[in-house]
Amino acid sequence: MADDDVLEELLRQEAAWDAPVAARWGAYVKAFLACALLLLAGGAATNAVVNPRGEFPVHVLPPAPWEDAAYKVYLLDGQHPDVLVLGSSRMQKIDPKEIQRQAGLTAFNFALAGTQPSDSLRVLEGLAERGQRPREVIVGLDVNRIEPHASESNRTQYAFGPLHRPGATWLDVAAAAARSYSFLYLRDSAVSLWHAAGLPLPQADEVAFEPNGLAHYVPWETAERAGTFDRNASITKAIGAGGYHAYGGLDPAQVAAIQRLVAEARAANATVRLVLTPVHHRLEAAYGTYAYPLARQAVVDLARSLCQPGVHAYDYTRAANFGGDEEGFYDGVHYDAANAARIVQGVYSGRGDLCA
Amino acid sequence: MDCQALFNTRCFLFGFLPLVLLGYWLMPGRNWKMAWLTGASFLFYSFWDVRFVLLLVGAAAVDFAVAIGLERSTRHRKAWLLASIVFNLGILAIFKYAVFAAANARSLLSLLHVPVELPYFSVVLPVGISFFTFKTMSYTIDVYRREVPACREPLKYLAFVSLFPELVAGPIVRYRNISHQIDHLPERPRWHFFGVGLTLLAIGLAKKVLVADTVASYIDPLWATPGHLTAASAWTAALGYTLQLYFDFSGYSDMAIGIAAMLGLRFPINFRAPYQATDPSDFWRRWHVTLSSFLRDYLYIPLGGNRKGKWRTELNLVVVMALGGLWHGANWTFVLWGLYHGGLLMVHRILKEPWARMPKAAQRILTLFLVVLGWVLFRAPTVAVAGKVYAAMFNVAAWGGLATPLVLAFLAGLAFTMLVKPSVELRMRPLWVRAALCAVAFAAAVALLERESPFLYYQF
Repeated sequence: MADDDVLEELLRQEAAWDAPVAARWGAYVKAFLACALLLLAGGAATNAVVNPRGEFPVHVLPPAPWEDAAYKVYLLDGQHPDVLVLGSSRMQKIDPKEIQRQAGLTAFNFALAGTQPSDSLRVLEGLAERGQRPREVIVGLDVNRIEPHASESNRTQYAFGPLHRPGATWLDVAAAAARSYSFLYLRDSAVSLWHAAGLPLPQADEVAFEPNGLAHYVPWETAERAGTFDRNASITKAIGAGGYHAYGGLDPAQVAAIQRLVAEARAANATVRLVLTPVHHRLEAAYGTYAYPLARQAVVDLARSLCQPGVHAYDYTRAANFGGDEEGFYDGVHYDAANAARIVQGVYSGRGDLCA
Repeated sequence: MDCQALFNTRCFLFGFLPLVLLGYWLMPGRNWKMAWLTGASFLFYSFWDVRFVLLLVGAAAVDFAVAIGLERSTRHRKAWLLASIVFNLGILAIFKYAVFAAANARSLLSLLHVPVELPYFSVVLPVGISFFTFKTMSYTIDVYRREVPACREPLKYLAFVSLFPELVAGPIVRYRNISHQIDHLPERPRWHFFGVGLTLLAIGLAKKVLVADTVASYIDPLWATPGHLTAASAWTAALGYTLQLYFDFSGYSDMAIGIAAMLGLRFPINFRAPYQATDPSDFWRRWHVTLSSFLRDYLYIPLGGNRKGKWRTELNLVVVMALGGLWHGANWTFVLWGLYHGGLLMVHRILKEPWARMPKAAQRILTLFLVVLGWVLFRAPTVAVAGKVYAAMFNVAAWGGLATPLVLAFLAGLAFTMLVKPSVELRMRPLWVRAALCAVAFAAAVALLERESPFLYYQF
């Protein structure tokens, strides 16, 4: 068993210290505090200046491309498009150039991966605060992403966060910078600096954006150009990734967000086009005959309920509804450029308009 | 900032601790300092659950009164002592062991086909209960033994019981070690104490956040799926936990000792390079020193220690270690872990001479190997899980694939702990470079504070 527990090394050391040594401890404490403060403040300041997530109102460097919200704010800066495309990654292939061809309107694609209607609302409001007021908004609604169990997105928390709202002070910026001092944030800053210096990233981007916000799915499209992309296998993989077997009603918060988005857009005299996004027929079949049809009907009913002058809604949950290619998908939900073009053509030709 | 009763949070490091230190050193005189410290300690405990501050005050009040009664009494001293022990063990029994006892009673009744239904219930386990009940119990026992006079100042006693740096996970500070220090609280901060305190705080935080939590991120998934362990992953889990537990608990102890030093207080050392132990007995002189010395002084010696013959000594060792195991938690795994170590101590006493003939390096390696085997029982949620892990570890046919990068990395980490001096025994010198290195370790650890991770010994 143990010897006496009170050896108290510290006391023994103290007894051995002479006066000059004791005095040097004052300098030691100050050195520790100064170094720690320098490192912590330096890290926080680096995050604020590099601003990899677009959280801070600082524009020295472009945000990191993987922070799609911040990156799209950066791309949109100085542009005033007529049409704004909103929604999740399922709307990212909608090509602004096709909109210009079909409607003669300039457009920007602000769809963000993994987002829900509440995020689209936040983007619309955030851009309005930055002086971006489109004449028309095209909003993608994903049938199985308007439910309470849908995972919450944090894509807009930085680029449309509190520091970009009127009334944010330097104290708020300093507090956010202090909070940002973390390994992951510092890593983002480092990678962002690396990227800004023109050096290649260790991993190729999954998605690359054109200046008008149009997304390119880099691995899929590269493989397709090389003739090595197996769509069938990719869709099978998507089916295996998870089912959709329970529908418990739409999320009231998301429904309210859609209603508010429509109301705010209409209040600003903007036309609203709600597009129910498609899924591949094999994925729909895999979802079964119960939950998905119920959810789709609920979203169709919701879209119909929003019909009013200046609002259109399109049930494009199946490729056939917009004259698309049943097989024109990279996976179960992300359609290719040809199908995206057909969706735009369908929208501007009024095909399947639930409000007509 | 979300505050919790944890040292490894931003709220504690950049809010609570600086404010407490500032207020403490601004307070004029001992009484104000004690009051400030007590208030801060209660606030710290209330970050976990404000309701249980009352339990803390209640436990302190009872033992405060009992000790005075004990000192005044000439005839009923044993009765007073018994009252304190029953009270403290009663608190532990209710909050820590009641559910465990009921579950075992239920199993026993079912085994014996006795048709009695015991009610199901749950009890919140107050954080640090095992530490503060032992602390207060040791005080009354010391007063009974006339080793210390009973404390007559309620505020001083409350300050001792609630002292936030060691309130929830030790080191177990005895009244006799701290009383004199509280009586002579320094008026002004002592820079050398402050410097040593900051150093230990930085080292402790780095041990916890940079090492223990990082190792945990690799081994927790393995412990969560014991049915799928291979020999390599089972050894990864066992070796990794050996590293994690040491860096976690000794990191916490370093921080506690460091914070106390910044308050001008000296806490006892809790770890003395335990993985450098040369035999099981030596291990217990180095691991969780304040607990093992508590068990020695308040259990082993009163049971007769080694004064009542060879076999009684062995029995005492096993009983003390089994109870020490149970102290850690209400689970048979802890009891078995204690029995295992009791058995090791017993066998080592029997084989002392042949053991001593082994080279020192072999003694160290063999001791560490035995300790690693024990940690499997300590970490496993059930005896069955421990069995699965042991089965996978000793699946000799699969030992060909043992040399995985993680196993090698953890072995290298353990080799490091077997060679270097522990942080509390480092020769502290006020050098600029050391200050800068500690600041770098501190800043690196703070960057990883995103993940919430209580210290492992909080559960005890």
